Amino acid sequence: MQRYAAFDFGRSRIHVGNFYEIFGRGLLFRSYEERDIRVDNNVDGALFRGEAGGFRGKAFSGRMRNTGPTRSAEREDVLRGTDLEYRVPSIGSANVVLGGSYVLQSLSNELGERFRLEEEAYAGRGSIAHPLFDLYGEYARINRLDREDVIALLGTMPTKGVGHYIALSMFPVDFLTFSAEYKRYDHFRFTSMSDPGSDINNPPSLTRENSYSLVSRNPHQIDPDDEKGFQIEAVATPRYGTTVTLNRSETAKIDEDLFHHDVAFNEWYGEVRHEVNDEVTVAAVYDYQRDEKRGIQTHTPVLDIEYYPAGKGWALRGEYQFQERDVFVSPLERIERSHFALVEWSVNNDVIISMTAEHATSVDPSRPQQDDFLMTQVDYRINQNHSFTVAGGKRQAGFVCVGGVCRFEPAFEGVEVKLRSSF
Amino acid sequence: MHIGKKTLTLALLIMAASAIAPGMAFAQPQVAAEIGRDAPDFTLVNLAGEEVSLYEALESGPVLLDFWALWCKPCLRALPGTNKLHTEFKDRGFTVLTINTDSPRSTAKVKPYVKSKGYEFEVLMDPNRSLQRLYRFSQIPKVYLIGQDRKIAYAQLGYSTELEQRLHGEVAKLMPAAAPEAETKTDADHEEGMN
Repeated sequence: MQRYAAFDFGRSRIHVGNFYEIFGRGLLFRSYEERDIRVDNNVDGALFRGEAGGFRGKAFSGRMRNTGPTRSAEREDVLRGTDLEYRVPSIGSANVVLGGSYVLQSLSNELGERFRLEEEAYAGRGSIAHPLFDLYGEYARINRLDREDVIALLGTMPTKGVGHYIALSMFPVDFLTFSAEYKRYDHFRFTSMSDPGSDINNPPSLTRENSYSLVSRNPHQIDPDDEKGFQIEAVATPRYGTTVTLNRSETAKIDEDLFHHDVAFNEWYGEVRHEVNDEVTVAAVYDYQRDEKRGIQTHTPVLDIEYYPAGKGWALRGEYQFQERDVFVSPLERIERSHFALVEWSVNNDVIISMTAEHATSVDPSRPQQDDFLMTQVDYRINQNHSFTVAGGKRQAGFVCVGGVCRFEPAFEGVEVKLRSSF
Repeated sequence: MHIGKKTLTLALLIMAASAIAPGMAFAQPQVAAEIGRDAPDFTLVNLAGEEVSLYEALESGPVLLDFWALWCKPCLRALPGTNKLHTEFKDRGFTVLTINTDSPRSTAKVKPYVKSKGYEFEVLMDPNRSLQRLYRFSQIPKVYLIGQDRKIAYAQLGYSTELEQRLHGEVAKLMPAAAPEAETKTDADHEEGMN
């Protein structure tokens, strides 16, 4: 829930109460709400935003809401931050922006001022937007406390953390575009000192945000302490109504060879989407993932059909997904297969009825298993801020991920009623 | 398939209960309450790195705000219609501002997607969803049509071809009358269509 008072004067604003904010692309600081993974790390305090002569600044002081499993909803750490951007006067047809951020976290605990803890982080960034390409780069450092008494209390931890992020997008011709991103995060986890489960920063994970159930079932969870990698995506529209997307991403430990096959996470994704006519769209998808950390390799083809009849308020969508999952970590080696079907009927603009069915088998030489899942769900939008969901049946366990941050949803059987509200 | 009796019964019960849904008369009452409210001003950065503000855009005519994200399939389905509105009415002072709400994880992919589809409307980046909080809604696709009096003239949640047509009608209603020659041509075309 948001509660605040805001005062505007000219192109500046002072906001007192709770707020969400982001510096750059979130390498240093991101306060945000993501209900699907139950993250809400809003800051309660004061925020200033202002602009003058090509400069744009933000500064805040407040306490961030802890959302980790141990200290949910408490606010103990004091955060102070400032961010300044400068828009360089146009250079030809390019727009150049330079910026920098600083964040200080401090915690005074019951042991008194002697054990007052502090962590500071700072970042510099630059971006160029040009009709033919976009370039964005950010470099950030975290300086942790290096006091012997604190180390004795909390244990050893690296005193420095470093993060790099670079993104390049290119638009050489109208029907073909590319994006390439690179990351390197070394001891770059920036979390609440009172609750290590709550993140202050949210660096880009550089893995594809997949929306198909089976494709997103074994996701890569970002490890900001030891990770480097890249993601490349090409989007082509060879003819009107057809879009081809190819995506490749790899993540490795910092001391591993990125181009060696033994990387931590590796994904290939290909999609062809074709508008058959104004009413029907068909998409075919193939996804391959290999996660060395969890010992899982998957192959997932998907077929997706949408039907939006002309001039009608209803629509129909169907999906068929198949996944072969090779669990190669010893001693759990086995092959699992899932057939998954979804039918979704948008009855009108407020009611959606969906039914999912899954047939899962595990080919384990000593213990073959199979299981079936059927789930029906009705979603009703009560108004713009409230929705009501009734679901009944049985569903598989799986991850729900947003932005590389994941939450595990256990297997479920029964009836589930959800009322989602925002205020 | 071997599905337990209990699971099957539950799933079928939910289905049966939902069978009454088509008969329920929903006319988007949730958005009706928003019509007539003041549209708060904002400034965001577009894909070219320039700042765009709502109230400055309103100086030339009505503005359509269209909230979307790459992960939202109905949003992507709606964008060609939004581009048509831009093409049809841009010369009469109408501005389309689409607001992309993808998280920083997908920011680098937005411009390549828009360019590859050949969309000409303005795309503003809002990776922390600040406008959704300012306009107080949580679900997308969502559109607001804002008149030059800075009030919300029409709002719409979700996507269907019927809603696309309704939005076109609402935009046309809000636009100042076209030049006389253009009007004559439109009427003639209309009569021809009727015959």
